[in-house]
Amino acid sequence: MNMQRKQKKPLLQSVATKQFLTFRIGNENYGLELSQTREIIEYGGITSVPLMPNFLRGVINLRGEVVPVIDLAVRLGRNPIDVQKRTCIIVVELENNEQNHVLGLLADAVSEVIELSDDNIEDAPSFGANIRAEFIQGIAKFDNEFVVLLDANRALSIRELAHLVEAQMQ
Amino acid sequence: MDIDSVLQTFFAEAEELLVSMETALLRIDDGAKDSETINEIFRAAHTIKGSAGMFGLFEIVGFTHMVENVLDLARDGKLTITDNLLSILLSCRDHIVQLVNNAKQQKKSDATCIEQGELLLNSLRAWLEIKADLNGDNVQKNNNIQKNIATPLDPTSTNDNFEVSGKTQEPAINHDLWYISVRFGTDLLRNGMDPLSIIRFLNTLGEVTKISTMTDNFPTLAEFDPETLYLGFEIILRSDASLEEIENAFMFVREESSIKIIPPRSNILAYVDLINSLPKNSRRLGEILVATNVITTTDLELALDTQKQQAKEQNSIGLLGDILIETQAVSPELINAALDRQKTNQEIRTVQPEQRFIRVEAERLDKLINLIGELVVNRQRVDLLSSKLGNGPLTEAVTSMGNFTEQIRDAALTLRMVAIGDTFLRFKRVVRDTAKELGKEIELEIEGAETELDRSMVEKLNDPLMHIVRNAMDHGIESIAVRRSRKKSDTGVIALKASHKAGNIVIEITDDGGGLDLERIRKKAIANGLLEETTQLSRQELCQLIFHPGLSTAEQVTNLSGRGVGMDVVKRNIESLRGVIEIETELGVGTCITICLPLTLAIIDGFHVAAGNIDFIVPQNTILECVDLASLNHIKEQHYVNLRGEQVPYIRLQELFSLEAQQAVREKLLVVQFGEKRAGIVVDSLFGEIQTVVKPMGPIFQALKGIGGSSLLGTGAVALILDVPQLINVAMNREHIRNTLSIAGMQE
Amino acid sequence: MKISRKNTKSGSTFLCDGELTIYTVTAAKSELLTDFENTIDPIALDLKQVSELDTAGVQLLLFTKKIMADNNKRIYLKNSNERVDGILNNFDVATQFILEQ
Repeated sequence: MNMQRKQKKPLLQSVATKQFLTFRIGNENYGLELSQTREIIEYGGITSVPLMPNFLRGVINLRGEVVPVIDLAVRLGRNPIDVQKRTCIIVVELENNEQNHVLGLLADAVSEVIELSDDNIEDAPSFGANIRAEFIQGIAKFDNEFVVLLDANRALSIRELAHLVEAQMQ
Repeated sequence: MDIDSVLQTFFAEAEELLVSMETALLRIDDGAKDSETINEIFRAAHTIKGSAGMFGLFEIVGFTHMVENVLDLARDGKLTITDNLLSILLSCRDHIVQLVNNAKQQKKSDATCIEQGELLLNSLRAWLEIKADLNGDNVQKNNNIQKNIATPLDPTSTNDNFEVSGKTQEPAINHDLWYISVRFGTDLLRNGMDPLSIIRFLNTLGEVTKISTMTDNFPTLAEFDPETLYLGFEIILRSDASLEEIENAFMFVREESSIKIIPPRSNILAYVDLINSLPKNSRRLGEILVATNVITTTDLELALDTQKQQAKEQNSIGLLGDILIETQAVSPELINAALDRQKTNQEIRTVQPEQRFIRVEAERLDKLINLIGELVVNRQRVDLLSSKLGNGPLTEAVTSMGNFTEQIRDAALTLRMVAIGDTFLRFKRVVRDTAKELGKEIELEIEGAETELDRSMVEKLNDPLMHIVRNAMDHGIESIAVRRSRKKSDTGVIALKASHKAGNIVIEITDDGGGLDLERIRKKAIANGLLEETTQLSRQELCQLIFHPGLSTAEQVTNLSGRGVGMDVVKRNIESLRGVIEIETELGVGTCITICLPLTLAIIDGFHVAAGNIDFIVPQNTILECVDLASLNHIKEQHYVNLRGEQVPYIRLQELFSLEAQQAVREKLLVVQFGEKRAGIVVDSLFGEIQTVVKPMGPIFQALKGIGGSSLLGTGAVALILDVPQLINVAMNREHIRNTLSIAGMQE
Repeated sequence: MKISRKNTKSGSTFLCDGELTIYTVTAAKSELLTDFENTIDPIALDLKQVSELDTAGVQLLLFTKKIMADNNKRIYLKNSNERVDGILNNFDVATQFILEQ
């Protein structure tokens, strides 16, 4: 299930389209910009780190690199993910203070890669989504389902995560 | 070759030389008067002058040249380095530092700097004059020196301007002539170099008695690019310098140039070779040799003939000198004298160690060490797999590969290790200068200068050590009057000691000064609201108060004038290195500050343990012993064990980290030590030794206490590395909290 | 750097002003050599106003001399200053700019 980005078929690029990797948490659909994702790996081999807040599941060995794994469900205010057969880790790479941070995100299942043009994406609603508004880049409708497009840099802000850990330690 | 990078090399080397120059000067201050030390200083000045000359940095050349003149006299025993002269030389060295910095920043010297230089030159001049008076040297030479001084900064100064006094008196040996043939790289000028600098530099090594500027390579008018260098040079240099010194003149152009240096009285084949390599110039070469009286035309022709004949007949190589003697061209005495000199040249070459250091970018080194780290981890995996297979020869091969891996790892790690000595020695200067400023007499003792630690750590230690040493001088060591009243010797002593203890580096800074007035610190802390009137603190806790930001200004504590060095910053710096700082003090007797640092390295020897289903690594060098907890006398609630009569506090990882309790485990106690502190860590199971690579956990986990990093096990799983110093502190603090609680309880 | 040429019946004069170094040699070359056919022998070099001279400058002077010589024109140093003299001496080329009668 190792689908590295370079192995993907190139999709037709129209002017203002973006590709998103969609996945499921509970019965909701989410999307992350494909350019921010690195690979998807099977769930497993997580070493839990003591005293961490719920959203921080632990660390994994990603080809020699030690990478923290975030339970995206907890981060988005849902119940922790219950590990099932299809549970996987989406590895994302975020730029923060000119440094690249690699994080693993726990998701119930990965769906597909979709291509959306700007007019397919609507602004985040200020109510109803039950998620902190700044985490959301927009909402798209795809195959008659709503997909919440996450703003990874905000939802996974390294600084904020570190603050949360610090708060937990006190 | 790009001029910038070469210049950077020059700057880096100059900086290093200036450091060693300072160190050597300070050794003289300590009483070393041996010729080797003076030589070292001389060589540093000499090399800087030389390299600066090649880059046309004539301000440095001019100034350093005077310094070198004085040093030359001292080297020959014609001048004694007194305290006064030493101070001047130290200031001169500082001035050179400034000149080099100016050059580095491509800044012209400002008025103050120039004035400073002039003042120093005047002082040096005075010393040269004293020497001349003492020896009754002729006035002419003295004038010569004066002339040098008058225009040391003038780049147009010609040959005799840089003639070193003293050398001219040596009997001139006619055949002490070097032949140098140079064809520079055609891009030399474009790269910002100028052969003129090199020719001028050669003039400082001796005298260019003849130079022929060769224009044979000029192209046609249409092809001529004025920025391309077409000129070649045939140079006759009269010099008693060594081959290496002369070669060094071309150090920065060597790569793209063709340079042939023929030492005096060389085998004639060298000349033949040269003639062959420069076919166009053979006629010219003869002219040059004759023009400079190396030999006469007839001599040369005769010698060449004889040489060829001999070579043909005996298939042996005759020396030009022998042949010349045979033909009665030169007296045997002269030849012998020249032979001796040549021998010396060769000896100098062999005595001087070949480049002892290679410059390597720190980043490359780190990359290598990271890769070796991966190798170590992979080796562990191979170990695991091979032991599962149980194939004898394979296991054997894997084991032997493992040994090499270990050796490679150790060798790689030493690459990053540097002796702390250089850092310590830097304080000699600080102590010397500051003591003078303060009107105190202070001596700096150094011990364990050879103790090695990680390079990155050395850099971060500089500032804290500087703070502490300055503090000790400012506020620790008393004035002479006070010292006398306390029946101490006038000279105060500050000692810097470094040693390895149980895998840690321990640095002690001791002074025999007034010590800390703990009662006063306590009052101050109460006045500042840091402490309750009623709180009882141990001596160590009182001492630690000086690291509190609100109390750290020494002035308030000791009433001595001070710059209020922030001891809180010192503590923070040490803690950022995962170190611990402690103070012992006795009023009127002195203070000892101990810094204990882990050998933070990319790869560590660890001990693999587990608690609550999580794998942990304990750095092996912190472990004193492992025991079954059940076998020891302990009271569970108090977290204390009795270890051979000693009360040792312990922590249980499972409790500390809120881990799942394991059923029916025989808990093990690891006794760990950091610095002078001991504590126990209770774990569920022990797995054994493991070599492991420290992987940073990333910024998210910054606040996590007790875990210093992570590493990969042979199975690929991630294990967490325990931060032993922090854990010991937790254990100790728990004791402290308990104590204060019971004190509070008593007071109720 | 400024080079001006004055032609008189008794010969041409190049008056150089400013620095004659790697930074200016390309310009100087065209001043000295693009129109050398129209110089009048003997050619005088007035380097009194030259403030800076380096190897590139010396090389250009030597090359100019060569081109002139190839065309049977003589070139000599008419005027100079201490700095220029010092540098020409460093290369021992001053003698090449003496007017042989």
